[in-house]
Amino acid sequence: MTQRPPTSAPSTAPLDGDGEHDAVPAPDDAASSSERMRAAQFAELLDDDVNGSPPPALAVATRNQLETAVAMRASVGRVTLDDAAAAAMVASVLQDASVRAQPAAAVDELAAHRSKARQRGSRTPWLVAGGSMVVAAAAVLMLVLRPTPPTAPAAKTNVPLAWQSRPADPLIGAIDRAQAGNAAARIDAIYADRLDGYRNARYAQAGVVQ
Amino acid sequence: MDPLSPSPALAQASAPASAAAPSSPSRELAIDLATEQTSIAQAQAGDLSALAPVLTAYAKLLYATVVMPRVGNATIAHDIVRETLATAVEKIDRFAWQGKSIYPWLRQIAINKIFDMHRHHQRSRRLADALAMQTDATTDADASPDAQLIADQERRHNRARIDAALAQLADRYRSALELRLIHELSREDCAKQLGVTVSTFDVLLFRAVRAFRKTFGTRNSQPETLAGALP
Repeated sequence: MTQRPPTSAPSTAPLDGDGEHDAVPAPDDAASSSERMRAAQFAELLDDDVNGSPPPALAVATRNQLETAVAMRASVGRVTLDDAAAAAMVASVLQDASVRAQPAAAVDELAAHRSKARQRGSRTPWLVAGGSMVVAAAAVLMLVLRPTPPTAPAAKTNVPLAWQSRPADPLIGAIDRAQAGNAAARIDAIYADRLDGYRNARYAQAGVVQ
Repeated sequence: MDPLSPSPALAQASAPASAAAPSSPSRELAIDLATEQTSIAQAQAGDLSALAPVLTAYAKLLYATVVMPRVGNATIAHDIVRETLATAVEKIDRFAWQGKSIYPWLRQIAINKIFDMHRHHQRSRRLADALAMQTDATTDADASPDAQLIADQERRHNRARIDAALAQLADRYRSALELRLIHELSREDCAKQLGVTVSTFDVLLFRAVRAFRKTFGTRNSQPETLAGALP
């Protein structure tokens, strides 16, 4: 039997008058429009079930009623489990059983592995400490016994003083208290001195003899 | 004439349910006791896959004759049968071969699962409860060694319960149930047989199922029996 999606809309609404304790009307009693609607919905649900579709989510009363009808069909031999479904179910059960059986062996193996790891674990701190000490001693020895690097000879300055970076103290000298606010004049003096040096350097590069 | 009043076709439609019910398959199991014994012995020796043919054959039987008639819900029934098989595989070492099929043992496990399901789902399932309560809580030690015979007997018992409940209903309701659920006629054919419109037949069937559920549950509800039957 092929499975198809249910055609009935999910029903979650309570069905007034359809409860366990509500009286069932006599066959000849006229049906209200509400009851007709519920009856049509139930008929469609039953059609779906007969066609092999799983029921949608249902209100309790509707579900109980549908289960009553299905149980009745099953009681008269109208409901079966097809061969493929039965075989798939059994295969699944046996596979699960084999998976459950495997962990026992896996647990034994894991226990042995952990035992070995525990033995290794008890020695590990000593091994780490010993290794660290050896490395530290080697580092100290290397530091002590390393060859002295050759000292680089100091670079000789063959350029004129005016080209070199130099303090401005000889140029400005001590600043009188009265001249303390005249910083612009001092900056001008330093700028002129440095500009003079720059000019000389440029002339020297151009071969101009002053 | 009231649309829900009896029609001349009623007499024909309201024949005893058993008269037109689908006959039980005479021989649907393709497994014999010797094969079953060998398979179980192999499984108990560690080869669980040897159980596959036995379980496949009995899964269908359990579903159709034991679980679905007591549950009425394909999804739940599927789960119960599956759990039954899983329990059987897990406890196969406990099964002692006594010259009888393993089927009664499986059936007993399935019935216990059904009781468990009813106990856990504390919901109103009067019909299902009644169906479950009517079941023998334990499998008869003198039951037939043949699973097929046990299943056939259970089918007849299921059918007798349904017929007895139907007999208590109004003729119109009984006819609606028989036509639609036992003979499995379409709604249109059922309506034609009863001389009513399809929508009127839907109402008849709707009420008939409610009436059946009420009658069956009330007549058979014996909570103390259920409690006593629980494992």
